[in-house]
Amino acid sequence: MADAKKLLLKIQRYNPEKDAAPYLVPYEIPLDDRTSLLDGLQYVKDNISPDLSFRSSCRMAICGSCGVMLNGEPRLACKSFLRNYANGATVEPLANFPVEKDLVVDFTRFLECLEALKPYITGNPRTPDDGPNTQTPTQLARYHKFSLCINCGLCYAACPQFGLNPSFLGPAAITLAHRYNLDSRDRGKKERVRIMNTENGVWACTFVGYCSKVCPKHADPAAALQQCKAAGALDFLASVLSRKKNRGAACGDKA
Amino acid sequence: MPVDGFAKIIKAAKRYALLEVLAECADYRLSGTVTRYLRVICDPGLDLHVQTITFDIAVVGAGGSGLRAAIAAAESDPDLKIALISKVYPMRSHTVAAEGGAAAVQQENDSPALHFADTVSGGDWLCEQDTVEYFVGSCQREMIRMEQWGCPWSRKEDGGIAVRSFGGMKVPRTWFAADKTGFHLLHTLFRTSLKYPQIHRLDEHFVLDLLEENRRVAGVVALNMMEGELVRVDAGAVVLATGGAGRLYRCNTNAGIVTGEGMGIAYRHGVALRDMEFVQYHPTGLPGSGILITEASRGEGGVLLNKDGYRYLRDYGLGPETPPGSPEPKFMELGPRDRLSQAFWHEWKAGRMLDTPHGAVSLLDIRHLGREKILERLPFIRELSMQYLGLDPIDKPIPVRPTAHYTMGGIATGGDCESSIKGLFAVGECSSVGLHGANRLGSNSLAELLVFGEVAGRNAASRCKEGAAGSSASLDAQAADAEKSFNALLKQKGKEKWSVIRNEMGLALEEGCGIYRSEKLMSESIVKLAELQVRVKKVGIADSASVFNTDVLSLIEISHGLDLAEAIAHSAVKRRESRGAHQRLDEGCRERDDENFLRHSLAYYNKGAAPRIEYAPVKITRLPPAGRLYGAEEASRDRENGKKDNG
Amino acid sequence: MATKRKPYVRESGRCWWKGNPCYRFYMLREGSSVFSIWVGLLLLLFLFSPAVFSALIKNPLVRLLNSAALLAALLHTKTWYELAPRALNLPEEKLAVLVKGLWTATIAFSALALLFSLT
Repeated sequence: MADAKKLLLKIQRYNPEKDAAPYLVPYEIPLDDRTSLLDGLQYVKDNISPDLSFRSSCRMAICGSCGVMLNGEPRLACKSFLRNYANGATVEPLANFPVEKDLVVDFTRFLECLEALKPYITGNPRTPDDGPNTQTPTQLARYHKFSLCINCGLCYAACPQFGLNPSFLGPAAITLAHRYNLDSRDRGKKERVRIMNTENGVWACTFVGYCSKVCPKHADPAAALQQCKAAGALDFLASVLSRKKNRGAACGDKA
Repeated sequence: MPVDGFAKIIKAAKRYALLEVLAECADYRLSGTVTRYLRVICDPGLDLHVQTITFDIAVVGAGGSGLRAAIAAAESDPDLKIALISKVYPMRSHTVAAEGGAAAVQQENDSPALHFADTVSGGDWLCEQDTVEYFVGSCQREMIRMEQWGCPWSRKEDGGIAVRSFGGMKVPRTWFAADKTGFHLLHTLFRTSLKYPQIHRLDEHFVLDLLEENRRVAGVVALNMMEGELVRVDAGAVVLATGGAGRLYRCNTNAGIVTGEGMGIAYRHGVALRDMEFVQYHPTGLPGSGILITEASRGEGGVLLNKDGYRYLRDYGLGPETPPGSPEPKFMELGPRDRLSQAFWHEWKAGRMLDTPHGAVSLLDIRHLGREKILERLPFIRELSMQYLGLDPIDKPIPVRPTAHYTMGGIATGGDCESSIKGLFAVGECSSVGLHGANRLGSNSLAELLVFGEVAGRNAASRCKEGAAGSSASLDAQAADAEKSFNALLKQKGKEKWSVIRNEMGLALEEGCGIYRSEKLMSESIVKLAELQVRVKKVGIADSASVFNTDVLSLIEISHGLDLAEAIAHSAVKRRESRGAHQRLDEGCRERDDENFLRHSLAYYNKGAAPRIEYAPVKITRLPPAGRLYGAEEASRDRENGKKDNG
Repeated sequence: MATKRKPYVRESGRCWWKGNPCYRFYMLREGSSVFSIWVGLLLLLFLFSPAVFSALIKNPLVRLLNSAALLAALLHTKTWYELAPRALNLPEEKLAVLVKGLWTATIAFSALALLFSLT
């Protein structure tokens, strides 16, 4: 096809063993209506530069591998269509994470944050012999939206607080912890709220709100963080009140 | 970093105060190494900086089966150290893309015996019936366990579990979480695995080879993709849970990582690949990309139309027509996948499908389900259609076509998941435990991951205690060999490209080993694959980097892929009958031939030559081979049997 | 064993917010709070010396500042009403109703306050 449409894609390259800093390289990509950015990257790897490194897997926006910055905006490569970028586009690795090679970032920080927040059902003594828990559609709906997170990390790239303070536990990890707090089967909320209320927990969020805008699954991390702040504040209030009550009781004993 | 900073980290790490460690490390931008250091500090025996790490069990692959196996092993003996090795982060595994659901008896009008009969006849009697028996009896327990681990199963109004209909299943028994069941299962398993400190993840580690001595497994050699260094993992038991090989085909529903090297590694070690000729075509993939449109869209009541708007399945032994929106189990659109894909092929050859630039398509119409039901039960299908086709299935039918989806065959194991190498287990799509026979029923594979993941994990936990082969000179030599051949590959020069070989292999399989096969086409594919085996040795590697070099890994994936493609093609050409997903058009091979071929094929690796194909008997316990009937034909047979029983 | 990794860290500079419209709007939203200090000072002045206050608010510059403060307050109200209710775990439809309710209450209250101050 001689008259096939083409597009100029500038891709950030970086080989840690050779380069002092990343740089942009232009590539010409043929495209049609359905060419995704991921197709474009694979085209480059297949045909022009086999040494281009990027992560990808499902190519249907559910595995969360292929997050990149497309014209400065965090996006899934498989869910971005090149037809919308007629004037060319720039692809860079996901912001706020250290760049390891080309478009590959070090993503372990996210997993560590997730792990720290204990995102699993705790304290429910039921065993398979007891049969499944009862959970009505209304109870399911309370947390369902927050369970849609695919761990792609776009919200971390969108979060300026995470950029400025890499200790922040971050939107997705907190959203998933909150998902368990809202689950009728879970009994571990207290411990999670304690962790969320630490210095680098929910209070590091200033509600920029960009995380929810870029979330490809509409899991709404900004809302989750707001709800965690409310829960944290209530928890604090409760602890102050109970401390007062205890002190009162103690005084009463003395008298 | 100042010394006191490091001291603080160590102090926190010793208390396993992960939060404090994270905070300290982030200040020094130590991200990416925290968990690693933390675990070394907590467990001095586990120094990840030396090239050999000793575990009790190594699980290779961290999708549904790998995670389930790792958890089962940790639960059956909390003192075990388990390595969970995967070339991607666990959440990226292809289990994530499963949509429809997982099978387990749930309704009162259902029973394990009915599930058994559906599975065996769906597999065209090539199933190990004792394995199926164990499976159907264990599914429900595993589903309940998932529920208790937090899987958001879709519910009925009263809070009980909802089930939906699926192809080839007589009674609705598919548990589902909207149309993202695999996603929710995978994430539930992954996050549950975080509970067990004995599970040590080696994320983004690509397994290159197995270590074994006297047919006893001793560990694996893996590449740490980020560091570009080889790691030797010694283990008393190894569980391969590496998934299928759908990516061998040009157009498929599978993720890019489903390249089959787990099967390939076992194969090169002399383990048989069983029933490789059976490759399932899913009847509803998106044209071009192959993206999966779940069978649940038909289970909920969607219908398939040809270009005249006619529900063609009634002409292929699946009728009579059921009213749109009220599907009947095992009728019409709820027939098994092999039959539906074959019906598509006939309609296409008769010129009754729509032509598009991405090939012929039929139409999947779910409009009559209504907006509300589509949004509740099939939101992901709607999102995929809108994103990748630009059409809303609430208003327009979805163009679909059959697409390579699932490898029924794989590493031959017994019902205990152990292969012919002692201590080497295989589970999930990479294995052939004997469950699916010649055609898998939809929603049996997610159930398989859980049921047999548990079996493999539990059995690996007891096997590993028998002691590994240790670090003998022969194992050292094997590890050194693995390193040498990897280094040679890194420096390989040549004019060929792996991408070209991948594309030609995909085309060859599609032409020769697609929905319908013939001697001539299969022989052509075999010649082509042999040619590609020569050319793959001449692929040049352009990437010189150690860090995240996916150029060389793609080559490794594709060279294993070629071995598997040959196993598929040779197993297929030698099976001179039609059964399940293996349908032939040539004279004398168009019918099922139980006399000669009610047998498993076993492909053995033959370095530099065509695989050796042998056969093994099929275990029949309860259900002797019979005609595989659907729709009205089955109903009338059931009526007759009923009469006989009563009389 | 020396690692071959050399992760490249992109620092967030002081002008991190300039490149992205969402961040710029965030800075505007947060910046609008400066005007509440101004209004606060003005009200304090009214408390201590009503006469000076009455004279001052007629000054065109002060009028300009107060108009800006009004706009800032409106912007802040809008964003606050959109964001704050998310702290309640409500479905989108109910959220929309709540936000409408908040606006109705605000307009009603402002109208009453205006009516009261004019009479």
